[in-house]
Amino acid sequence: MQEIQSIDIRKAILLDNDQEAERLRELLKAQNVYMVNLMASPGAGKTSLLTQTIRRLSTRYRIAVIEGDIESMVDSYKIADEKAEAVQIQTGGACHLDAAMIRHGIERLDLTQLDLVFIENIGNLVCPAEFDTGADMRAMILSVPEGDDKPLKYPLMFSVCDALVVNKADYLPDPGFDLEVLEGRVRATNPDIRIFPLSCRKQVGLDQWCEYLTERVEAKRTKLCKGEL
Amino acid sequence: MHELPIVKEILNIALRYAEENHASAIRTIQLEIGELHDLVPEWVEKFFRFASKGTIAERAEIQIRWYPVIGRCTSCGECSVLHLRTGDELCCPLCAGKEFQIVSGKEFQISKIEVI
Repeated sequence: MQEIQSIDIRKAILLDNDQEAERLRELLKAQNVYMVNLMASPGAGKTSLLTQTIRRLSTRYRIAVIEGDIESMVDSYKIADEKAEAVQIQTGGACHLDAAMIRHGIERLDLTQLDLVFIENIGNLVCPAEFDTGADMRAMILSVPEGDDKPLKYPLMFSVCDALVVNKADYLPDPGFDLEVLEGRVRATNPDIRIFPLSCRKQVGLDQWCEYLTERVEAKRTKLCKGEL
Repeated sequence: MHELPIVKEILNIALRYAEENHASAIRTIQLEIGELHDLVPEWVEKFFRFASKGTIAERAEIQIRWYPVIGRCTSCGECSVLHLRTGDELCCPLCAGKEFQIVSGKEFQISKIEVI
C-alpha cells in the first residue's frame, strides 16, 4: 500500500490573476493612469453612465473604455466624445473579465496619451466580483427597477465596491425600491461605500458622481507626486 | 458560472504541487472558501470531473471547508457571525449596531492536497 503524503499549499486560488492584476496596477502607476472597473447587471445603465461621464470629464481628462459587455456598442463612446477611445475585448462568452483579458485591452491603448480608463465589465452581479482586474477602484450600478433587495442576493459584489451608483432614480418613488432601505443593506457589510443616486436619462445627479471620480483621480496623482504610492 | 475558470486554477495549482513532489496520483484537494463567495459545490464537482480527466487528479476528491462571514461592528467593535442570505436585517448582538467591517468570509484558497 502506498503511503499518502500531505502537501501544504495555502495559496489563493486566483493567485495568478491577483499577481497579473498587481502588475497592471504597477503599469498604470508608472503611466499615471487611473482605472475604474464598472460592474452591473445587464440593462442597469453601464453604457449610459459611461457616455454621460465621458461628456462631463473629457475636457479635463483623456479617457478610454475597455469594453467587455457584448451587448453594448463601442461606437457610442466615440459619439459621446471623439477623444474617448474604446477597445473591445473578445471574451468568447465569458461571464466576467479577468486581469489577463484587461492586459489585452490595455496593450491596445497608448497609456502615455491617457488619464482615465474605464472597464465596462460583463453584465453580471456574481462573477465579476471575484476577479481583480488591476483597477484602482471598483464601482457598480444598481438601477431602481432591479429592486432594493439585491445586496441580500449578491453580498460579495456590494461588499467589494468603493462606489455604488443608483441609476434610474427618476423611477422613484417605487414600491419595490426604498433608497434608505437599500443604503442600510449596503452599508451593513460595506460602511465606507459612496452611494450616488442619479438618472442618466434625466441627467440628474451626475455632477456629484463626476466630482467623486475627479477626487479619486487627483488623489492618486497627488500620492504619486509625493512618492506615497 | 465562473466555477469553470476557478476549477481550472485549482487543478493547475494541485497538479503543479503534485508534480514537484513526484506524486503518482492526487487523492484529495482541500479548499478553504468564505461564504461570501458564490461557489456552487455541485458545479465545482462537475467541472472538476470534466477538467481533470486524463490527469493524475482525475480520482481526487474535492473537500471544501466553508468559513462563515464574520463582521466587526463599527459602533462597539464586537465581532459576530453575519447571516447574509436570510434577508433579515443585520444587527450587532451587543449594541444593536447595523454596520460591519468584514473580517472573515472572503477566504478563497487551496489549503492542501493529499497525494500518493
